[in-house]
Amino acid sequence: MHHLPGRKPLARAIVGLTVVAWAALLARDASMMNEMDVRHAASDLSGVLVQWLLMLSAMMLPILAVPVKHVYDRSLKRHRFRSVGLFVLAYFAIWSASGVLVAWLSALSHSRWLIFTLACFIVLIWHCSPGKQRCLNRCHALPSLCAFGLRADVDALGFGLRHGTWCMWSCLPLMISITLLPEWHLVTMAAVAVWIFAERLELPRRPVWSCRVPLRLWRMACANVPAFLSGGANRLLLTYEAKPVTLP
Amino acid sequence: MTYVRKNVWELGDDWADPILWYARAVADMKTRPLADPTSWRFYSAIHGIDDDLWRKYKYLNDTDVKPSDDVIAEYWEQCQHATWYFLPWHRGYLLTFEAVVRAAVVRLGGPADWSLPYWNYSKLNQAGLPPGFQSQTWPDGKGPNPLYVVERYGPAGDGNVAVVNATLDPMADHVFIGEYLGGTKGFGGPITDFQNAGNSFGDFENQPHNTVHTDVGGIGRTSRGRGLMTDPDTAALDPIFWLHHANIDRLWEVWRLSSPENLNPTQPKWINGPTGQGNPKFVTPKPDGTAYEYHPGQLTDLTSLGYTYDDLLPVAVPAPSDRLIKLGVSLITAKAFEEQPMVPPGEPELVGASAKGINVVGAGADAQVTLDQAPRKALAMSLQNASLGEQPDRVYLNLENVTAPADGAVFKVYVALKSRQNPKNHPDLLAGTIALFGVRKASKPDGRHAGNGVNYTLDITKIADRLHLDGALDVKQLQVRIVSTESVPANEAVKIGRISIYRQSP
Repeated sequence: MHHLPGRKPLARAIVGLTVVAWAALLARDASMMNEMDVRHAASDLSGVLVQWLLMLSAMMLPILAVPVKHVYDRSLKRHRFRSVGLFVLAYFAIWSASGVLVAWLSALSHSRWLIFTLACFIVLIWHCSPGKQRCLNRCHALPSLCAFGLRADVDALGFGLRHGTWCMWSCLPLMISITLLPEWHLVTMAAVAVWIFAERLELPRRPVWSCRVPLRLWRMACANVPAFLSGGANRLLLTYEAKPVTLP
Repeated sequence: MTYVRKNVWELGDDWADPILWYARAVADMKTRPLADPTSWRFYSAIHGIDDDLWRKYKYLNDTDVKPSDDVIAEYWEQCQHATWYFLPWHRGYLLTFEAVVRAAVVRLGGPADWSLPYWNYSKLNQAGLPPGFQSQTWPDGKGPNPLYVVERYGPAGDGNVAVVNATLDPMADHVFIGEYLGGTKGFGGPITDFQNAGNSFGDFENQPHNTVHTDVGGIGRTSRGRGLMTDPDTAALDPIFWLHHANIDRLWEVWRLSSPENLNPTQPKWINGPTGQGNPKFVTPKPDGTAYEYHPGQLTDLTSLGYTYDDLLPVAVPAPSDRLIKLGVSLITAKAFEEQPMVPPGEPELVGASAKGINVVGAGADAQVTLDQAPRKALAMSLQNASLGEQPDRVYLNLENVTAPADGAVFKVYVALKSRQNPKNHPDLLAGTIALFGVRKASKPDGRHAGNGVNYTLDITKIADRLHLDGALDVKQLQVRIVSTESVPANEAVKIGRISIYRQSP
């Protein structure tokens, strides 16, 4: 894991687009006044896809910071935004393809709680599997990229497709289960977004059957939030003071 | 009291007291069970452990009882590589190791002021392995010498151990923190989280640290076996490891003292260590087996830590004004530049890159780096304007995503060497030497690096300046030649994802 020093425009763009996506989701949610609106939205394919893309933007943009920085850093200055654009485009294209499945499941009007429960069971099994860990590991891959011409475009697209594929397999069961949830969409979505972000903060590890809880984000919060809330001079993530120790 | 670490080659005798007592203490630590936090193997596993390699070299067997999972998770595989924590983590590790050895020395009836010697391989006639480590027996000719290990093949793979590829060039760096990719790696390395072997080495870690590891460990010429020092997962099993790192620790202090510009990071994230980012803490066992938790901010002042070195004299490095004078700046202006406060380097910009996927086998490989017109012109303009009093860009060659099935290969990298030119006749075109240390681990797709391999960055500013003055820099392509110091067999091929050149404005 590395950071975004000196790439403030990139970081700002990612934060800004994430905020816009969440605002749009909130606005759509507020506009659905009753159960009929919700049922209508669920049966409208384009509506489902728009909702799906907004969900993806809101939840996935923060975890794209590292690969986006990778593409930016390894591209010629005149190609940077083009390459980043192609990477993001390919990433969302892969996820959009899965939107068809989501649309079909969303159209199911009967036994939603039953289907949701079944989906949660699948999520749990998948989460503990080596396959999921393997997908998470591949999400940390930062490959070489060509710098010139068509091959630079192809590489940016290819990286986006691969990254999107691993990301999708890692998170798709979780994302589908959210869309099947009859109520509390936004709250659940926010919780799952935090979970996915926390998962991505963890380092790759050996893929084995294991019930993994991504605790690093929690430890970060424990180490920083109290000092932040007490009005420390420094900002979040920079305020932790290790305890004094006795030297040997 | 202040313990003084002394030069192992200047103790007065091959088996001077500090070496003899070190050997006795090592022998004592080696008798302790693996799960004992003060045992030789436990301490080595803190740096790194690979069960298969340890079994192969007979440091792990079926009768060994490992510590609990919690203890393993807390202590083992902590070593910080390719990170700005490289120097402070190893300082703390060395500090408690020395205390554990000292406790053993005292218990065996040795001096209470025993301190760890250091191996200054850069000093004239001291590049060879100290004799106490070469001998297979104790000084009386009996028994196995605990300081001797079979798995030391040396730079030529023939068992003759000497440091031949190390330089102290990075001592000229004035900036501690570097870029993750592209520009300067800094003296101390790029900003990272807790990084048990990361992807981008700091300049000083790459050279001399990594090259000393591979020069000592090497690769057996016929067996193709790796020396213990060649791989981070076995390195700390070799008793010479600790004298090497004492020298690295000494050179960090030399660097800090040699210029007021050479400052350790002041960011709280460095001072307080990685726990603020939710990462594991730095922790090593004290002589009584209890935990010593530390963070870099505690370890910057040797006086408060209670030890020093017998030699902290500065290393000769070129002055920044030397470069400016070569580029046509007057002596007075160049000296005036040196007086100006240092400006942090700007964002690196890609100037050019090779095609993807370079395989290094046999004697080496050649690659063409295509340079993009706009940054190439901007670089040329920057160098041109140096004579007008503007700080010129610096130039960096990057070997990206280097992967390999095993560590130990050493490469000399040349820039702008023509196809028929013999590299040995053109040391002026040598960009630098890289040693594969930690690359095996970084190449595993399900390892902590996700198989991304390692990035190496070499400062080629001096070569770029010369090419500029010769009118040979503003070209469409630059040749890069990678020369292996020993032939690389096809089944150990080293893969380089891409070779790139970046410029970085001051």
